[in-house]
Amino acid sequence: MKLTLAEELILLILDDDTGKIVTESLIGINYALAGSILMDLALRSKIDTDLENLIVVDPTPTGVDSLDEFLDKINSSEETDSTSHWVSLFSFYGPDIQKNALDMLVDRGILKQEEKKVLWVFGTRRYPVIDHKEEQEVKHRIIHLLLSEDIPTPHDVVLMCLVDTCNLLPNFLSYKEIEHHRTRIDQIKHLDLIGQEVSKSISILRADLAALLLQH
Amino acid sequence: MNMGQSKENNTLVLTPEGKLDSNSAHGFETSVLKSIDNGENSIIIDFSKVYYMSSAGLRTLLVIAKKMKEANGKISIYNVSGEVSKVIYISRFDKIINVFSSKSEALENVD
Repeated sequence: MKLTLAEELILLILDDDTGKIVTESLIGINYALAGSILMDLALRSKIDTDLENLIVVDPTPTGVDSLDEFLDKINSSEETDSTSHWVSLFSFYGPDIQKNALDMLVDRGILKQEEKKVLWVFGTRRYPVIDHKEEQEVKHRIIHLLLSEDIPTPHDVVLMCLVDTCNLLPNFLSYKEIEHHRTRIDQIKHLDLIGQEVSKSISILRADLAALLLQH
Repeated sequence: MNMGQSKENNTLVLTPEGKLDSNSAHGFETSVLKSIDNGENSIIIDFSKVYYMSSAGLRTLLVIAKKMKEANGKISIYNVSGEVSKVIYISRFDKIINVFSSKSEALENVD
């Protein structure tokens, strides 16, 4: 079974050396994880969206528990809501989505779970990568997407949305290269309506945080 | 979704009708991809009778445009209006697939 978007995203935000989540990606990560669920459901033709609404088009399970849980939530809603509503709501489940993705990657043998004690008291968990193949493949796809003039696949469009909104591109490219390809990055990101809502949500969050910091 | 088709010189002219959404997108995509596989390398799509497009419709256009580019062919759409036009431009799909305001412009572009 191919990786879910949440799994691909988690692979990219894990530090290869420490097996921990890279902290610079944390702002907006919950929105990105929420977006990854919706994007995956859309790619699997379970939901559809337009400029105003998000609807369930096929309520039958995907077979992936971490996706079906959220498909059920949307399907159970008595009202039709916007994409931004679901991005916002599912962002509260971000830690659970993250944990499920980590567990799935451990089950697949791509990561291993290690418990460490810090100062012999505080427990920490880390997830060193033991099979780099999937991670490398995802990174190569993103780099190829940026450096070529190819039209992306729908899957690669949403992956690019997630990568850029979590500020992960500096892990693959220099800042100079990112600026050089900024027009292409933005063009690709706009191709997905859910991706646009995730980007907007994170921009609002960052603006709110900046305003908060300025007050103090 | 009903789809009319005709030929003008070497260009396949497609006229889908109705909504391009999750219900119709797969059939539309299959039909156009089949045309490309059958050697059509010049296609224009008349959107005058398409009154709604969802993100499923956008993904279909992306897949079709990608396939046509890989086949070294040309594809464009024309007579886009209303909500469909809004979706196309908000998602910057006009950078992926050429959008024209008339059939004659679309035909000129693919010839």
